[in-house]
Amino acid sequence: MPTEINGHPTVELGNGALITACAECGRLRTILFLTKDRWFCTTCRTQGVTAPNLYPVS
Amino acid sequence: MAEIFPNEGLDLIYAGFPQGGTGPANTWLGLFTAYTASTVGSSAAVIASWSEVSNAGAYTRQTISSSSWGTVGTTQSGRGSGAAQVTFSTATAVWGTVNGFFVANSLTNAAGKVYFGANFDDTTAVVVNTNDVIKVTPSWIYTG
Repeated sequence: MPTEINGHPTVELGNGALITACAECGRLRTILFLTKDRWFCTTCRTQGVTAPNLYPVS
Repeated sequence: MAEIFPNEGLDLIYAGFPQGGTGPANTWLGLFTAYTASTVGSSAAVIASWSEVSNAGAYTRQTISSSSWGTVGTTQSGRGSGAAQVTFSTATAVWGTVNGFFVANSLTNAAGKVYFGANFDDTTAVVVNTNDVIKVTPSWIYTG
């Protein structure tokens, strides 16, 4: 399983290590979820990536 | 977000310094379901207190090598360090509601002693369902 994805947002720490950030908000989070080829934090995963594809009708 | 070095973890740390023991080459990252998304166990907590995710559905503790811990730096409340991000295997069954992570001295599920436990930084419980893949960044802080 690849753990590094080309073009994915990362943040470099002082020791040169690259930490994967949320692909939506760019924040460093303790936990990230993989959706297709992007890592998302809990909030963006539920609100941004998998938002309900529904529209209000009257 | 809450975090704690329970007594058994502090005992292990004392055994290394100042008592002169040899530090571990590896520690292991686990996930707990006890407590809440913003609370952790007490000082008296032991491994059973944390209710680790069951050793099924491809869940296993992940190894953190000592060399993967990064440079120690100043935080708002002390000196902290983070290890390289750890990716768990794809869940092949529901792991349940996870409230945070712990760092232990054993690879074996529900065994060993916990050095440190903490909630996720967004204080949100996560449900790990079948086919989910998660990546966790362990870190801890020694306060002065």
